[in-house]
Amino acid sequence: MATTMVDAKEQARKPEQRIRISPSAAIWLAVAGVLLLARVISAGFWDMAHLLNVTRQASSLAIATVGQTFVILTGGLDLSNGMVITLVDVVAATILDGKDDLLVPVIFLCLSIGVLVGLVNGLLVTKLKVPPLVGTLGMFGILKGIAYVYTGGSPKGYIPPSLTFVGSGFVGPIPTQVFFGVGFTILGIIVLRKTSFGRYLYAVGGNPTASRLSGVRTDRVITMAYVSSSLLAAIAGLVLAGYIGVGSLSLGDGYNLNSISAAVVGGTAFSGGVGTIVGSAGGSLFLALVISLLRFLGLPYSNQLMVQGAILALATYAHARAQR
Amino acid sequence: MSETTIAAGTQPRARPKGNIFLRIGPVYYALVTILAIGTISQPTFLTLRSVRNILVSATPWSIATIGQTVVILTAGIDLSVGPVISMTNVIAADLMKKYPEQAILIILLCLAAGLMVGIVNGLAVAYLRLNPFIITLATGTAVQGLALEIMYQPSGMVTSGFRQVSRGTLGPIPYAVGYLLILYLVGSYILKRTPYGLSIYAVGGNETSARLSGIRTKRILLSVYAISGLLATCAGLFIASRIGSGDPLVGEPYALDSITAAVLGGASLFGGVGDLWGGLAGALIIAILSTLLNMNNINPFYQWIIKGAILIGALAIDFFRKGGRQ
Repeated sequence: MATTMVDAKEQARKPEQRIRISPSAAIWLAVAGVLLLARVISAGFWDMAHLLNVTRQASSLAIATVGQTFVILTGGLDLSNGMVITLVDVVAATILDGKDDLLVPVIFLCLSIGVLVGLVNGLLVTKLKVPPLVGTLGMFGILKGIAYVYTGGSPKGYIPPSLTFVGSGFVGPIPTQVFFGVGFTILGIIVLRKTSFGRYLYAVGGNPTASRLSGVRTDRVITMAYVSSSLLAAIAGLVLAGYIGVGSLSLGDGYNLNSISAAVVGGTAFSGGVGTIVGSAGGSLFLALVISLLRFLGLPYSNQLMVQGAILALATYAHARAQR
Repeated sequence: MSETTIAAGTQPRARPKGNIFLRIGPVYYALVTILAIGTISQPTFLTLRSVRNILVSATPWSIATIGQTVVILTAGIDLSVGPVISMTNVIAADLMKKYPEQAILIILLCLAAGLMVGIVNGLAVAYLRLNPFIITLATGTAVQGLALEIMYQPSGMVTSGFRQVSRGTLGPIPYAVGYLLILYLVGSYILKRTPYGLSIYAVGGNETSARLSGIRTKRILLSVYAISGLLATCAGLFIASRIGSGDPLVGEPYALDSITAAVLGGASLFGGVGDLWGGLAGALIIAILSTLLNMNNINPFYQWIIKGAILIGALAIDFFRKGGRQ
């Protein structure tokens, strides 16, 4: 009785059409808004080198967020991706130690670490029915332990020039990292839009039972999503390693929650089945832009965190309202 | 159809049938195993002094785990537990240094602050229908910012009277054991024997049928986040009393560790399944683990690997025990 009344109310409310903007368009509008706001506050923010630096900061996050988006689309989440970044960095720094000799095998090793971690995450979720939050949280702990035990708690070694070029070099005026960020974003868009894997990701997240019954190998699709996430985290880790140039046990801290934030701010529904890479890339850029603006204004880290929390809350609320 | 779901949801006392070994959760086996390893490897492990230390160091985990378990029972999650602990810790240490004679007032202020964070979470989850993971991540991030705003580096000092909260003993027994006993006994009684507690299980088991059977589900949801915020504050106050000063990052491990403890203890992230005692066993395992590695001179970094493996292992074993079905 009560529910029918509520339904009727909602029905009645529907005709007053709101202007519909897709979440991925909304986030890019927000990016433009912040840019305009920054211009009004201070002309200095619109310095080309500074803006390119912001896109560089967004790039590594965007790479990790592509993978995180794949996983969230299936209705899961990946808390272990930040630790993959850290592990890849300390492994590369320790083995290479500033020399390019073993570059190719070490890159291969790092990418293999990513694939292996993703495979285990995926199998835990699909075959042992471990909830994604718990499985990838456990993996987070295991990887953190491995990184600390491997380095004895004090990482040594340096990243060689070739990777440093990727992480902190420039091609013309543009930071090399940006090419990687944009490249993997485009790759992510193509995978989601043009491949059957991409369509299955939406199907599995939207309705797992229906997609299984219609012949989608759901377990395989979900496992592949986790493998993509860890592999992209490994790539982001190599790029970031090139940026800081040394082994660091805190390099990947926060990337798990930040990549989830970026995806959600960009319109990816946490319940699965809804989201785009265009939106996620916008989310990454938006977060990097806001943090950079706050820093530019001289606000301390504590205020950045408060604003970040507020943005996440408001974005979730806005997307939830838009969907109703 | 929906009636059977309600019935199942409101009868957490019903004992599962079958083998007694299957009825006991894996967390208790893990606890016994870890105690056995401790006793065999270290003759001093089961002395009164060491048991006392372990119990006192496990107290903040155990308190935070109660709140987390109650939230998980409703199929939610609370990531703001850690930041609330940090915030409480720095408010207490900062204000007690400035106004040492106002300790009681400061404690009340901390409780109000933690309760408020919980209520914000609860309102967002219950009334705005926002995802608990995302919204508590958002409030947690903001509260962590607030904690760093109050105190950027470890400083401050609590009053000597307040230090007795964690240090005091009644004969050989630390007060902390008393807190745990009271919280767990009262908490378990409320959860399993009162209409309110049964409603929590019902909401977690099937929110729609709980609502249709007359339970005010929104209020229940709001209340569990408020409880979690309040208990996180208690944990933060205990930590402040124990370390004697403020540290804006002291709560960092608690969000994930309290989830680990609750899940180890048999709480299902899908809601409606679990109890407090399992969570206590899980929290004790986490506390004993680091003590044990220290005593045996094992690289403390292994604790993360072991914690992760226990977490995944417990759920995997549970899966196989149930015959490979979910």
